[in-house]
Amino acid sequence: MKRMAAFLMTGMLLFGASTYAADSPSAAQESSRDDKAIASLNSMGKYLRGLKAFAVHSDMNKDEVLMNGQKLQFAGTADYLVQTPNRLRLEVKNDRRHRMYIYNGETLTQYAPRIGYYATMPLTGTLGEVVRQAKEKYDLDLPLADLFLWGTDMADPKDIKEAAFIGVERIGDHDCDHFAFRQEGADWQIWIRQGNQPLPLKLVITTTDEPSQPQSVAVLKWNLSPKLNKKDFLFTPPKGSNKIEMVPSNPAAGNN
Amino acid sequence: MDRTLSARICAVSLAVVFLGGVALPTDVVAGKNVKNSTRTSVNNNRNTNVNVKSNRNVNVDIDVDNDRHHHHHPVGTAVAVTTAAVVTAAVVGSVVHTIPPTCVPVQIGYAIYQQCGATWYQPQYVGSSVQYVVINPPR
Repeated sequence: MKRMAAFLMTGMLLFGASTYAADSPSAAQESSRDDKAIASLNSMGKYLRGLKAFAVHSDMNKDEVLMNGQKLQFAGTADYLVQTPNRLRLEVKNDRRHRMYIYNGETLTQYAPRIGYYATMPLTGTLGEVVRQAKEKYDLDLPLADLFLWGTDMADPKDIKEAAFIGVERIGDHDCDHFAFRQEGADWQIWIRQGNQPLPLKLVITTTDEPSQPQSVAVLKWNLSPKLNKKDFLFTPPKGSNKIEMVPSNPAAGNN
Repeated sequence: MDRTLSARICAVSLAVVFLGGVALPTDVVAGKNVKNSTRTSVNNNRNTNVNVKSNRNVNVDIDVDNDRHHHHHPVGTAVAVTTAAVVTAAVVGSVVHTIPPTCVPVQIGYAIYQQCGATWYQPQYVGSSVQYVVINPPR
């Protein structure tokens, strides 16, 4: 009788365990790649690539991870003024730094107003190509680089392993569709404005290959008819400023 | 304070990171070195630069623009000297993220340098950070 009870108990435990596994979120999510979420992302990318000019202001919060794993958060802003296909002006400000970036179709300039140092990078091409080359050649991360990569072949939907629609939420004055995506090294969320102007109004990126899982958060305000002036996209070194060099991203590549 | 002593203090107060090797965090502000690991893009994170990037550390406290006009340094940043004190002269080619507020900008031709007593630094950008490389005196 004792053996019988033990047998039954074991069976119940096994049954219970298998039921639990089937219901667990990890099992349920294994194949969750919502095609509609991917399609919405593609529509947004297509819409972004169709814009002739825009200005976007972003409030940013970014975690920095100390060597011991502790996270600190820093706030800042990024202001883009963009004219397609190849003019860009960006101002990045936070408690630690102030930088200006100007791309005139032939060079990208980085300027630090407080210390007066500027550097020019010989880069050409579309805005997407420039943010990609700045990263690859100079390890220069321009904030919200994705704005110029979505809708191009530099943003591959196949990288996305999981995609889900979360719900309708309000950002500022607009109803947005909230989506969540997972890919290697990052979980990320985007809030895309509903209606005929599917703009990203919020972006949250969680770095998952860092144990502390730091996040960067951007909330965006768009102006699709900005005032443009040729001078906006020209860099004239201010009096007292000095030119310095950009270190190429992998100078030791043949030496190591 | 004589020139040699001040130059020595300049050199000593800088924790040295060697070019081309592992860029270890400095001990200038112990425990305040940060990893440069937070992604700000989902499509632009190709790690082209494993050697440099994975070892690059940005110091939160000293990674402010080193404003040479106002010399505002967080207390304890530029002067915090601990184990780096074994360094008696800045090695040519070594790199620091900040320089003492007493350094003087010197322009030679089109190039700008920072002179700190006998030690000369050339500023350069790594990504969006300014770093200073110790060079042989240009004059």
